[in-house]
Order: sequence, then C-alpha cells, then structure tokens
Amino acid sequence: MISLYPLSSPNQRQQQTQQAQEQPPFQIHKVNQNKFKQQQSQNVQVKKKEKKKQHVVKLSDEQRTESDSNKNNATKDNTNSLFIQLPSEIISQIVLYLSVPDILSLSSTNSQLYGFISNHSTIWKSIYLKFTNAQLPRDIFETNYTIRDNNNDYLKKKKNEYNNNTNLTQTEQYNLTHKSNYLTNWKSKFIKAYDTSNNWKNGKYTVNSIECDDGGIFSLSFVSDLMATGSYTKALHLWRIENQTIRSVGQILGHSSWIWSVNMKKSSCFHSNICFSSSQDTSIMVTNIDKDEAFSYDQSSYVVPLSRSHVLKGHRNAVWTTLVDDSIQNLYTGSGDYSIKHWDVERYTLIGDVGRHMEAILCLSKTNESTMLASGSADHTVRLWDTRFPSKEIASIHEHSVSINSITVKDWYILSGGDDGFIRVADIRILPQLSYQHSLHTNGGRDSQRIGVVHTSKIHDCSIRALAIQGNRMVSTSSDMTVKIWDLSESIHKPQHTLEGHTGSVISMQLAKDRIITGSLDSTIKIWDFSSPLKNNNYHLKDN
Amino acid sequence: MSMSTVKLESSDEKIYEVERDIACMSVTIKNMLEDIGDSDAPIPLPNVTSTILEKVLEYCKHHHEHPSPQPEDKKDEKRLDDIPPYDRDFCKVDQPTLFELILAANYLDIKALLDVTCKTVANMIRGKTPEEIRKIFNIKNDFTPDEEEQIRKENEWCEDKGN
Repeated sequence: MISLYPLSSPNQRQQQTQQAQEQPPFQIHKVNQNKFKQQQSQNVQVKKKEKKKQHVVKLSDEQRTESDSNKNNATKDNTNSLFIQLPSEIISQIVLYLSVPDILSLSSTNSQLYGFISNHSTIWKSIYLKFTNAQLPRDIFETNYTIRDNNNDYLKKKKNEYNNNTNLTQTEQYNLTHKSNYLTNWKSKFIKAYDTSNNWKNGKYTVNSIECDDGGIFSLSFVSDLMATGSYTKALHLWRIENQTIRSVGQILGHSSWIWSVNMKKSSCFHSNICFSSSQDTSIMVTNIDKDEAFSYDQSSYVVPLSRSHVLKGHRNAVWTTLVDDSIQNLYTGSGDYSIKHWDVERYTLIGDVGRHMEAILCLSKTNESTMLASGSADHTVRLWDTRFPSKEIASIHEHSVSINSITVKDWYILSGGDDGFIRVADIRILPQLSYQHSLHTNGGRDSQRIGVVHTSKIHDCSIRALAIQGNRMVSTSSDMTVKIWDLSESIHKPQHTLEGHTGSVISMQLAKDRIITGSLDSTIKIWDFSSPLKNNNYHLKDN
Repeated sequence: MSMSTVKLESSDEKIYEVERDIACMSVTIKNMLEDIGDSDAPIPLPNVTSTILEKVLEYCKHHHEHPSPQPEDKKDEKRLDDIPPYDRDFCKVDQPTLFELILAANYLDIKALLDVTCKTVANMIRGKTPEEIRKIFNIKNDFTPDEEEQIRKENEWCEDKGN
C-alpha cells in the first residue's frame, strides 16, 4: 500500500497520520474519496460481484482528454506542495540522485525537508561512503598501450570493485558491525571527511614538530593513537598521538642494533596492538602491546615486558623491510641476505622463501586482494612474486638503474621510487599471462616476464625514500628533505603541494586519512594535520 | 483457461484489458495475480486514476516491446544524465502528473518507472537555489529570518569547495 504520510520526524508523524486520513494528499482522488477509503481498509481484494463492468477500454488516446480536465480541477485547490507530500522513501531516493550542494539547497527550503534530510542517516551514510571510496581513474597515466583482458581473478575482482563505488573498506565494515547505525552520525562524518578533503586540496594543514633524542627516525608506524618509531637506538620508541602532537610513552626493548622497519597493526584482541620490527641484528620482533597499560604509565616510563615479544630468526643479514597483511597472519620480510621470507605470525615460524634478488631487498608492497607481492631491491629491479609458491617469480621490471627504496601497489599499478628521484609506474594489466598455475613445474619458476613501465617522471631532486597511496592521494618523501602530495586524479606531473620543513632526508612516513606523519634523519618527527577544526559541529539546528 | 490478458480497474472505475506480461511489469499486480489465481475479475487499483494508469501502461507497453539491454554492472546507478530518450520524453509532463506517476510507480512497484521519474524530479532541483526550488515545487518557506541565517551559516562548509 502506498504511503500517504508526508515526510516528517517520527513524533510529528502521529499527528500527520490523522490529517492524512482525513485528507489524502492525492487530491485527484477527492471525487472518489469515499470509495478510496473503503477499499483501503479492505486491503486488496477482488470484488467480483458488486461491480458491473462499466466499460472495458483498450489502451487508447481518446480517454486522455476527458480525464485531463478532471485533474486540472483537482489541482486548483491544491495549496500544498506535491513534492513535500511524497512518501519519505521516495524523497530520499530523489535526494540520493543529487549532489551535496543541491541537497543542502533542498533542505534549506522548508523546515520539514530540513528535519527530514538532516536527520536521515541512510542518506548521509550513502554520501559518505561514495565520497570516501574514490578509486584511481582508469587512465591516470595517459595509457596508450593495450590492456589485455585476460581471465585473471585478481583483475576481475578489482574491476568489480571499480564498478561498485559503495564498497566498504575493512575498517568501515568493522565499524558497521560494531556500531549501530543510529549511533553513527553519518552527516557529521561526511562533513568532517569533506572538510578534510578540502584541506588536502587547498594545502591547509597544521604542522607539529617533535624533536627526538633518538637520532634519525628510520621507521615509523601508527594505528589510531599509538605509534612506534625505530632509529639508531636499539629500543623501539612508543608514542601516543594526541590531536596534533605526540607524547612519548615508553619503549620496546629486545633488538641489539639499529631498527630499520616497524609495522604497527591493530590486533584482533580488544585494545591490543601488534608491533612488527626488524633490525640490523638480522632479527624480527613481534610484540604485543596493551594500549591501556601503555597509556596508564607516567611520562615515557613504560617498558613492554620482554615476555610479550617473540623473536623471529632466519635471515642472515640486516632485515630492511617488513610487510604484514591485514589479516595479521602473514609477515613478509626483505633482507640484506637477498631473500624475501614468509612467516606465520600466529605460530611465529618461518614458512619459507618467497623469492630472491641479487642485492638487498629494500621495500615490499602487496594488496590484500591479491597473492602478488612486489619487491624493490638494491639490484635495481622490481620483482613480482606469487606468495603461494616458493620462488615463483611472475614478472620483473628492469627500467630503474638505481636502488629502489620505496614501492607501493595500488589497484593494478605498481609504483616504485628510485634513488635518482624518479618514480616509475608499471601496469600489471599489460602482462600477457597472469595465470599463476601454468608454469608451476617449469624452469624452477624462472620463466618470469619482463614488464615495461607505462610512466616515468622525476618527482624529487634526490632519492625517493617513501611512497604511500590512499584513494587518489599519493605522498612521497625524499632525501631532498621535502614531502610531496600528489592528486593522482589530477596530475602525476605536478605535485599538489610540497611540504617543507625537515632539515634532513625524510626517510619514514605514514599516510592516514587526515594526516601525514614523517620521520627524518634530522631527528624530528613531524605531524602534518589536515583534519578540520571542530567548527561545524553545531549543525543540529533544532530538535523536533 | 488461458490468461493472456488481465483486466485492471482504475480508481475511477475504468477497466483496461492489457497483456498479462505487460501488467506483470508491475510487481504489485504480479503478486496479486499470483494470489488470486485464474480469475476473470478486474484487479482494482484504488490508488491509480485512469489518466495515470493509461500513462503507466503506455510506459510498460513501450518497454515490453523495446526491452532495453539491462547491463549487468549497474555502475553508475546514481547518474542523472543517463535517462533514455523515450523515458525523457515520457517524463515531459506537468508536475501533478509527474508526481502521480511517481506515486503510481511506487504503489505498483515498477522500479524502472520509479527510477526515471525520481531522476526527472532530481533534475528539476539540480543547480537551483532554495528560493528557486520553493517556486518550482510550491514549497512554503516556514523559516524565520533568523533560522534562515542559521542554516546558511551551517551550510557554509560546503561553499568553500573548489568543485
């Protein structure tokens, strides 16, 4: 049955229900009002006998003139807006076709519409998800090469994602299952995301610099408000991120040399984090951190009990890089012993070697959807591996002539940053065959293909040290002491913003939705905060 | 008794005989037919006038005869500029008719018609100021000047965007 109630807040609805019964908004039915009511109450029922067939009409044009005049009479005394009288689900459907400025214009017309739109969780949730799930455009690197549409599961999956713009990220799914929709204010979430996005666009940020006694910050990683950094000292430094600054909390002991890589992850246990770190001492450490415990200590005095750390041994040289997948089950490490190793995080055991380079492995990247792992090395190559099989090399990129310090895989692109300040982009869609199975038993897995790069540009004056991508946003840091922000939907040729301030190589960086945190050889950590001030929080105009 | 046609009765008691397949583009009618089984009696549609029912049937008939290829990946479902020409012309009607078509499509549960009519209304709103929207839909401005100012301020976050 059609809803006759004009949109309204729930407590208004009661009263309007009565009105609606007395006077259906369907003015045109006035003539038949009695009949209309009667039938409404009787539900849908075929009345066989009562009705004489008056006239059976086949679809024709003749009828139209007659009933048109009928309608004109009816609309004359219609003083209310037909739009407002539409059922609420239809209004929300119409609203979802509109852009945000149009939605705001519509909601500013009238108090009923204002209340309806402002408090409509589904509308704002949908807007928020659409806004935050932007994907890289397909042709960002001015592709003039052919993309082979091979039957590859990974690409298919990516394609589906590409077509489905309301995909949830894992954290969002987590939030959705753990928080009721009613508790989430999607409008304020959206406004915050929107403001933040404008700050990114306009280069509006606050920067906070923290001097450390640790020397150069080789590595940093954070999850929400807990951060760990690795440096010249043998201890990992723990920090609490508070708004736009950070406070020293304590340390993790265990390594016996410099810490090259650190990876903080949220554990499946409540309030618990896992910190992965790797060191010059050839070991890898997996440490469980109880956040509440860590934060309850006074100034910088917390030391994670040694019993919470597990040491993984197997590499024969410095471990330069670590990578943990989102499930926190698999750890991949790249070392100066030229090998990439795969570890079982739950059992703290070595699964095996994923692959080898001719020199130290300096960086690793992998997307969660795929079993493909990309590695960059001091041997000037990027290699792609299938993590399911030992030493199964899928492809390699040979166009760098310098060490590759940073690599990131996004959708189907592999972006690698070299010591010469050049970024090179390869597209796995141009691989003629991505079938992982076909060559399992041939040639010891060494029948990998070379892929060319589809884009090359010099983005920094010196070595590119870190790269990160989120949505359309890429951030790069360099030994030229700058941090650059790129809007990949706009241009890869010109940075959107260049952040200056570090006085040494910027060699560690993490990008989050509303901030970048960088660590430099100048012994400082900088927080570049793009989040919006809380000025817009008072948007609840009135309580109905 | 084969039922290649069904009879539909509008609110003003006009009866239309239409092909069953066309009528069944309305999920509501389809369900009713399933409920009552084989019957010769007209199906009452108390919420739809004959004028509107004729329009709706015209729409269904056209789309029954010209089935549009429904792409599997409905990627940009929320796009406004993808209304097919026939549908665009079909929606070029006066406002009361348009709104009644929406209500009828909603009641009869004809998704394609509901989508296209809602898009048409959305297009009428697109790029308009609140005052223009009020005029178009005869919406009463029941805000006090103070409230209007407050809303304007509240929506300021949207103005400094570069889009």
